[in-house]
Amino acid sequence: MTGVNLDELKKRARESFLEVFNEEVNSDLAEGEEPENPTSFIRFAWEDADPCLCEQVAEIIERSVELTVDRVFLWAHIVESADAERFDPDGWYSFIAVDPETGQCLTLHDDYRGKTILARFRILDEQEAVEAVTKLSCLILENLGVKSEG
Amino acid sequence: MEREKIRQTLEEVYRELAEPEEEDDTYAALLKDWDLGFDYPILDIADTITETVNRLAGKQFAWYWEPLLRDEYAYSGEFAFIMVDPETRECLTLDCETLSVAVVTTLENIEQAVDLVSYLLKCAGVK
Repeated sequence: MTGVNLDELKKRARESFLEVFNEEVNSDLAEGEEPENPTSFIRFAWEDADPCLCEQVAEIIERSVELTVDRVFLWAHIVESADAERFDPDGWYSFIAVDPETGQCLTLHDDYRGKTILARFRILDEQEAVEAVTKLSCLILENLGVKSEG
Repeated sequence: MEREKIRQTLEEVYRELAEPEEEDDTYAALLKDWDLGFDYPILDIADTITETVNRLAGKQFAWYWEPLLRDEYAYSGEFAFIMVDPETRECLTLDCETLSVAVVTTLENIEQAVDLVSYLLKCAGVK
């Protein structure tokens, strides 16, 4: 692969996110139960400071990226907290992806402090989740030598 | 790398980064005297490790570290470190057997700190 169209990538990111979200959250609905909406799920995880749900949001993002770029990675993620003394998520998530075949860190990039291995996103609703999947996919593809075009 | 050299460098780096006022406020004492409540100086402990590795390897690596929690109110004394070579992008802490990208270890005394630096230097290919 030498290049990928950005509009196509955004579309794939949205589809992947919704597919993974529905698999993870809405697959075991009881009869008559309303499916969960991504934005309310993400907001509930954040507002209720539920560590398990925040972890689930991060894992949905990771799996969505894998589906978008059609590759599997090794991941580490951080659900950031506004308070060091108790879990108080502020809506920011950081991700580290490593290629299991080459051992290369695929989230390495330059930021204002120099080289960083963390890709950091604020995820408070469905739109920000899809943007995170898109940007994370772009960064990973770029580090794999695939340019985003368009 | 000799353990004494690592121990010395840990102390030098700690004095530069944390600027302790008293002569007795050594890195070894910091690790020994900790209590794991939230006053625990995680930044000084972890930054001293990463900067010591950078200095002894003669190279600036890209790092992520975090302290692990025992419960809602205290640290466990364990830290996770991820080290990446910024030139090759290689994740040097990747364990191909466990498929873990981080090294997780307890830092409760200076010998454990020396062990960790020694291990990280090996990961970086420094003899």
